[in-house]
Amino acid sequence: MMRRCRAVLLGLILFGSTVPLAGHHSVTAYYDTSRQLTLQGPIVSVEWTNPHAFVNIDVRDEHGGTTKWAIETDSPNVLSRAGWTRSTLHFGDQVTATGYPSKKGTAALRLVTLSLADGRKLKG
Amino acid sequence: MLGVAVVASQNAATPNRDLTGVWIGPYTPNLARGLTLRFQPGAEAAFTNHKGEDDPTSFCLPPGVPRALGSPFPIEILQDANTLTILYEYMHLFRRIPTDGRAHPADIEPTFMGDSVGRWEGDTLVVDVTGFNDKTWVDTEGHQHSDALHVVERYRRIGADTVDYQATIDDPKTYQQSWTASRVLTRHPEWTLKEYVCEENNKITRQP
Repeated sequence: MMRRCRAVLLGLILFGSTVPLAGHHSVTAYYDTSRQLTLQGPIVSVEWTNPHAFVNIDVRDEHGGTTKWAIETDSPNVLSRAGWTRSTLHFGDQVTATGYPSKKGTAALRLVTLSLADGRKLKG
Repeated sequence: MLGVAVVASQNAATPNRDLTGVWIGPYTPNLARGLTLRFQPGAEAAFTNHKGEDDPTSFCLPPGVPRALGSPFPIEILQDANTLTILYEYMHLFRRIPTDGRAHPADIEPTFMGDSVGRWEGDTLVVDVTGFNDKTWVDTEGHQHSDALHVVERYRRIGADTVDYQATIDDPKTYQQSWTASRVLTRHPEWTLKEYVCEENNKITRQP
C-alpha cells in the first residue's frame, strides 16, 4: 500500500512538531510519529463523529489507481472549539493533509495540518 | 479611604472557595513528566512493556482520577454548601464530592472513578479519593496502578480564571514513593459542555 502510493506522497519529513491531541487514546500507539507524510486529493466523506473525526480523501497513485485514505483527527468537540464546524469541509474539496502514517502500513494518517485550496490551514 | 482599606482587608481574609464554572487544563499525556519514579519490584515492567493499544480508554472505558482531567476536554464544576459536583465532558462522567465532613464508606465497592470526599483547608479544596479498581491507567503514557491507588487532589483558585490543580498519587503496590502532578486549569465562561459519545465511531474496537 505504501509503495503503491509513493507518487502521492508530496513530502516526507522527520518528526519536528508537537504530537496532536488525543485524549481518547495514545497517538503513538497507532501512528509513527517519527515521520510525516503529505497527501493530496479530494474529500470523499467526512465522519464528524466521536471519539475522533475522519476526513476521507481519494489519493491517486503513479499507476492511475486511487486509494481512499482515512485522515484521523481530533474529537469534533475539540475541533469545534478550534474553529472547525461540521460544514467546514465538503465533498469534493481539494485538500492537502500532512500527518503521521499508520504503524500497520494501512492507508491511514493521523492529521497534523490540513490545508484547503483557499489557503486555510486547519490543525488536527 | 478607611472604608476601602477595610473592604480590602476583608477580601484578603476571606478564602475564595468558588470553583464553579467550565474549566480545562493542558492536555497531559505523561503526568510524571520531569519526575523520576521509583517502582516497586516487578511493577516497572508493567509500565515499560505496556502496549499503547491496550489503553483502557481506547475501548471507551473511564479514565479514572486524575487522568480524567488530563484530557483535552473541559469539565464543569457545580457547588453547593455540602457538595461539589464535577461533570466531565470526556466519556460523560461525573463525580459527586461531599464536603460536609463525612468520611469514606467503611466498605467501598471498587470503581473506575473511586470514592471521593472533600474538605476545605483555607482556600484549598482537598479531595481524598480511594476505592479504585485496577482497570484504568494513571495517564496516556501508560503509568499503571493497582487497586491500592490513593489520590489526593488539591484545587486552589490562584486568579480570576485560574485554578492550581495538584494530584498526589500514592500506590504502595506500584510505586515506592508517592508523586505529584500539577497543572493550572483555565476557566472558559464562553464554553458549555458538549455531547461526547465515545462509542459512536470508535474504530479501534472494530478492528480485529
